[in-house]
Amino acid sequence: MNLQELVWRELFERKSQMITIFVGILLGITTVIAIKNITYYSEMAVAREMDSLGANVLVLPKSVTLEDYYSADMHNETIPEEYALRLTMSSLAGVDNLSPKLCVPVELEGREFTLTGILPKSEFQAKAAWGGAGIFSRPIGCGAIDMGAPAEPEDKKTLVRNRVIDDLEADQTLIGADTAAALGIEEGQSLELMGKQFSVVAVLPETGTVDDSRIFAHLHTVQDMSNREAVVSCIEIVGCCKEISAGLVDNVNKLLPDAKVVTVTQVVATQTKINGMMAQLSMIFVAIIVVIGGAGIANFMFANVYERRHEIGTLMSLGAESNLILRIFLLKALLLGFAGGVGGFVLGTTLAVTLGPRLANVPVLPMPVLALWAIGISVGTTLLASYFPARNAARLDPVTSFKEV
Amino acid sequence: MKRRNLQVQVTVALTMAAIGFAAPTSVQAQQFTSAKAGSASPAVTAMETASSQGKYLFVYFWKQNDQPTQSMQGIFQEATGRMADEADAISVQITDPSNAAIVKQFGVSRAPMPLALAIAPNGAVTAGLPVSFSEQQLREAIVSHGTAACLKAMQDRKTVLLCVKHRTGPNAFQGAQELTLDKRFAASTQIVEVDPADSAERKFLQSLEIDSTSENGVMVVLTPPGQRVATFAEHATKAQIVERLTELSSACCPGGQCGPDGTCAPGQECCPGGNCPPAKK
Repeated sequence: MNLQELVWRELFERKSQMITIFVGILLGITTVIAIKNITYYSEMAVAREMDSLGANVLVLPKSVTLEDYYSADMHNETIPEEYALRLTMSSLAGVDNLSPKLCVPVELEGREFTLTGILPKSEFQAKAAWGGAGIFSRPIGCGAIDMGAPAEPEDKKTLVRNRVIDDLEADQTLIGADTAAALGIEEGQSLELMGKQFSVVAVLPETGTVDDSRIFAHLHTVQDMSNREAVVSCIEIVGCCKEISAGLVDNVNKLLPDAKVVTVTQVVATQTKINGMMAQLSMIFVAIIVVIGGAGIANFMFANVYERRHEIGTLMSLGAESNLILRIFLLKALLLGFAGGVGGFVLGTTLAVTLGPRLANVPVLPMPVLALWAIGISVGTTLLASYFPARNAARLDPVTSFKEV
Repeated sequence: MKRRNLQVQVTVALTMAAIGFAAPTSVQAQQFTSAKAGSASPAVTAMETASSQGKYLFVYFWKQNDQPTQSMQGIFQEATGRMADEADAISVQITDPSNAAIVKQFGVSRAPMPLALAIAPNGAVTAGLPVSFSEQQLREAIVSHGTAACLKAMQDRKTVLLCVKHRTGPNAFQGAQELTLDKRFAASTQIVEVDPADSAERKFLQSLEIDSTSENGVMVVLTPPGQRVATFAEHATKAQIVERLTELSSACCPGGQCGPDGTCAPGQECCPGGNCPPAKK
């Protein structure tokens, strides 16, 4: 009988105990893997959301309630467009970029779309340098540095990421991915909007937000077409993080007391809080597995050694060395831990992939790297908990064990 | 031809008079010399005149003759009256069709009103003061030649290579000169030379933290709208400057996007300490 056979027999000698301890390890690892997997994809979703939002401060009419950041500008209330220039010409530090917008509904081929007027940077960029000599002592901003007129033509598709583009002619339009697909429009074609012809300069890449179903045109053109005065639905501000925490929002509020100023922090804070809680929860489960699971395994092993002391004594009297006994019990623990780790990873991943989209509202994919994590924790715990019972077994005196018979 | 010129001059004079009387308390253009025949509008003429005389032009843009407009106009009138030896002043009602050219030139049709602009002889706007301002702010709008040159370049969306040295020769700031001749950078860069011995430039150099007593030449890179982004020694090569500018055109948080906890993405720190060091994307 070789070592492998001895371990295998030992493993199935007390099936009910073995199954109990295996299920304990399995459930612990399953829970940790499921939480870790969902948390990772939830964090990724928040990061993606932040990335696609671009702007992190919104200036809105006072009466608007903020329920959904993406459609925060979809309302009938307006604020004066001059607010954008007040911000541009102010000495506020930390305003990296801004984009005033006006949203109006338009009907095309019997379907409703949102026409969003945007103001290109060229309309207000130079005014940022109207601050006089004082602008030279302002701190450097947090965004990409403007190195002057670019040599290459601008890629209009950067609108979805940067929230603002450099130039847009009065008769040019940019189309969201869903709108382009629904209307069968491609770049370079023309489009009639409210009786005015536009050339489609870009079909924007898909973002998964309401921007996909929008049509963008020059703000002043949209104002003229919708018979509005110089007003906007909202102003998106890309602010620097340090200045936001240092009171940029308060300063904007002071500059524009008749507007409501909100940060993206307020919108995604709940999501971030949940992610933090889940991360903490997974760490608590790890602790529970190590302490409770470890104690259970140690108890099981001590009992196992005690109950099988006669068999151990017989083995030793037949010439088995202490080292072999130690290896039998540690190998048993290793197999148990490995099986629990693999099983926990498979079950945890399955749970995360199936329940994740429902619980956290994000798509979750398997993470192979968590397999190493699961096996590491499981094997580590079982080996650690089994070491002392196994050492006791290896030190057993065969004569003493026979005397007890 | 003479008769036609006379007609134009009369028309210009009448238009200017009309502007002067348009508002009950409107400011008359001060120190105006003869309007040039063929100019698009009195305001444009006033700009050209001030510029040719090396004077500043203060323009008071207004829309409605309401109480805030009248109040600010009073301050504007008094302050510019005391600066008449170095600046002209003009009042512009933005809805008046005859002022369409200047309103379009500065893009102020949708700006907060009233708005005072200070225009340097080189065409740079050295101050844009919306809604409410003081005499002190108007006085501070008169800046040094170096400041005005930098502001003009940045309002034209150019990166300024500010070269500061007591005596500049043909070989000084060779790297900067080569850079502006490179077709990749020629359209977007401009050299501005400043003599640190010029007392008028002292305040400007101080704001850029440049030691005006140093004998060594220094080059400061300023990007729109007025950020001091790099400093080089006089002998910096074109390659060194290009390398640094390329590095600067990337940022740790492109577009300034930061999470609520100051991160770009999980585990990735954004703008450490808020002082975002430019880094490669």
